[in-house]
Amino acid sequence: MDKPCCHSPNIVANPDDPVIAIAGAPNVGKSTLFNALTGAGASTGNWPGTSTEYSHGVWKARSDRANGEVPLTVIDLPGSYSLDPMSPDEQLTADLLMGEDRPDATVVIVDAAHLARSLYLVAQLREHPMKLVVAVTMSDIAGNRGVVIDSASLQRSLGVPVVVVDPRRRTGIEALAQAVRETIAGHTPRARAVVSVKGMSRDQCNLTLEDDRFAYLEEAAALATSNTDELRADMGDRIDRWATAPLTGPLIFLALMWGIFEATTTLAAPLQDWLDVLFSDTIAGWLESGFEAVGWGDSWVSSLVLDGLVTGVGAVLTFAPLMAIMFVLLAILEDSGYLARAAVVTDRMMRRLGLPGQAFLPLVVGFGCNVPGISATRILPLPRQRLLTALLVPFTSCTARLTVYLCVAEVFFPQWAGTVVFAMYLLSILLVVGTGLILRATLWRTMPDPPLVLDLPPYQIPTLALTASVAWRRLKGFLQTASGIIVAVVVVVWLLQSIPAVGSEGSFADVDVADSLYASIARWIAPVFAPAGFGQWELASTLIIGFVAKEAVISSWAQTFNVPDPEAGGGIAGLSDALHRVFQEASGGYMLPAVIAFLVFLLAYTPCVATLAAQKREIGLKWTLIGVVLQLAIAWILAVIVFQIGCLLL
Amino acid sequence: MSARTLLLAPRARTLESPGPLGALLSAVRSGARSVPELAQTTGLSRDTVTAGLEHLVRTHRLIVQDLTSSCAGRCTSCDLPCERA
Repeated sequence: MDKPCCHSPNIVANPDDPVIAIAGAPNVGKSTLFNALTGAGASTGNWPGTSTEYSHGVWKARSDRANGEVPLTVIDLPGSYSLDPMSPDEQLTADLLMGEDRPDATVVIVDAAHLARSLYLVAQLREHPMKLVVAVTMSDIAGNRGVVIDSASLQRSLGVPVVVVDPRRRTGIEALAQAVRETIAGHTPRARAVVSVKGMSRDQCNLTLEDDRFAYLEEAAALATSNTDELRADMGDRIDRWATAPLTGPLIFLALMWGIFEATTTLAAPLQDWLDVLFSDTIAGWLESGFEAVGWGDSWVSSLVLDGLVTGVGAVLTFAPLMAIMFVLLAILEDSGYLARAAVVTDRMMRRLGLPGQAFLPLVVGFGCNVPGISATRILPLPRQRLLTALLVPFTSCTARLTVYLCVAEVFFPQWAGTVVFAMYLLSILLVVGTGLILRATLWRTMPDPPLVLDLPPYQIPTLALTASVAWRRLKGFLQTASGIIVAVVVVVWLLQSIPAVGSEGSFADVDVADSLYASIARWIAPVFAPAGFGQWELASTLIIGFVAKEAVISSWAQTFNVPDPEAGGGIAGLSDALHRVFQEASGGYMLPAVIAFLVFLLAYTPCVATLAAQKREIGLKWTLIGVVLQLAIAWILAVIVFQIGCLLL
Repeated sequence: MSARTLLLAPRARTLESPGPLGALLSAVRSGARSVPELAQTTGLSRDTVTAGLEHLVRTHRLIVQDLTSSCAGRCTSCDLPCERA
């Protein structure tokens, strides 16, 4: 294939016409200027021999001479930041500008609002003997930000003509025409001298050359730019001074999170009550009538549907409004640009504590779901960092655990539900940090931590469409889980609760839960939790279920206590009475310390089997098992400490 | 709008240069975490800092990672980097 050339017969209508190339970084107004110069006479097509699209046309530039106009062939080159191509488009631009058959002159468009960014191409072109004209666009946008460009100063620094143009208002076009004419007629300027790179490695050589260009463009931009609004700090900067400061940053972060949890529990309460009645009363009532009508009133099918699916899944679905409100609030926080500021705060805190700063990324993800959080440890460059972070992610409080916190908090601390949930998240952070420090002090004493920069997006007012989309995607994930894993667990729990334990009375699907195989298994393990105040089989069984998936904890409680039964109080009210009774019995009268100890255990022990599978995939079986033992040990020790101290204080 | 983190690539950890790019790399290594911090540390304009960071990303001396908040449900319900990493 022939090398592309600017004087190709496919491009140039008249071989005698001079050829002008328009080059520049993407989004600097290049095509707008091209359209302003060539008007309706422009054509577009693929560059011969390539698939790259380009535009070309004739610019009838006004002339000083009596005959009026000088036709110039103008080529709108693909946007390119530099002559070091990263795409076929940029390759074409570099080939045309630096090839043997170069254009007679090149107009490089630079954005006044982002002068440094768009001057890199100029700096690179100035290293070659070329006829250049710099056209400065976007002066109005720069002006709105208080930035004024002195074109004369820029011209002196760059050593080529500089013209300010506004292609949308068609101002500066004649000045540009004159500059182009004079440039074509004049001598070729000398190339800019570059720094010596003899004896340097390839990487060092490249950086030195690039840095030399940056020094050149920085000096030119600094001399040519004045900021009339320098004293008027940007609103985002003013917020960031507080939002990312070492002292106020963490406080703002914690205050926002507390506000979110408090608002969630307050706003969702009426909706939750309505759904509770819907599942435990209306739907359960309809189905019960339906089963009785077809003569299945006392059948195992009725038991499975009413005691299993409606009770279990319905109990979890009553938390859908809570999750929806929380997801909306978190999406607003993310869309506003605050999340990145929270990351600055978190990163700084982690590094100060000696933990790998980059680990905050998987940990942030872990607060949504531990499974992708574990997978996200792959972004960490060092195996030891990945291992350490994969062991810490399960301590981040995922949304599945959130439903249990919300349920327990509303049952035992109705006035302080939001604060209790917030405290659980705070404890989760402390667990991550504490466990991380212990592991750093023992197993990972030396571990380098590569630095990073957080690219903070500007603050913005969250958009309704994006917020709704993100919140819906997350709620859908929650509902999918509810309709998948929970249904499966509910069926297994129902099966175990339907099978009579050895030596007990009753038959399949006609046995008291306390006499079932389910209760029998839970009773075997319950004594382990006695020192923590929740050594009752009804509570131990949910922790076994929670090992599979935390979403299923509430459904298993609902099944165990058979809460849709209107005679038992129905729904959350029935669950509340039953939980009060069970915790009271299990703790020997110290109910609240036992409840808090239960929440602490629930937070710290193994999140779910899916997380274990992800851990095994990322860090292997040995470290996964070590992680499980670590989590269970920490969870049990903390729960016992909380309960025992609580008993002493109360 | 999602934020990004720019990680220092292994090949850029020891590179040094007396100009603006070298100053940026040095500031990143020293712990500057955001554009305002980098501008303050290096004395460069924010425009130059932004341009320099973009250049360092383009030339693979900084590696971009998207930063997103929590997702819901399991891996399949989100677009986090679990599958692409």
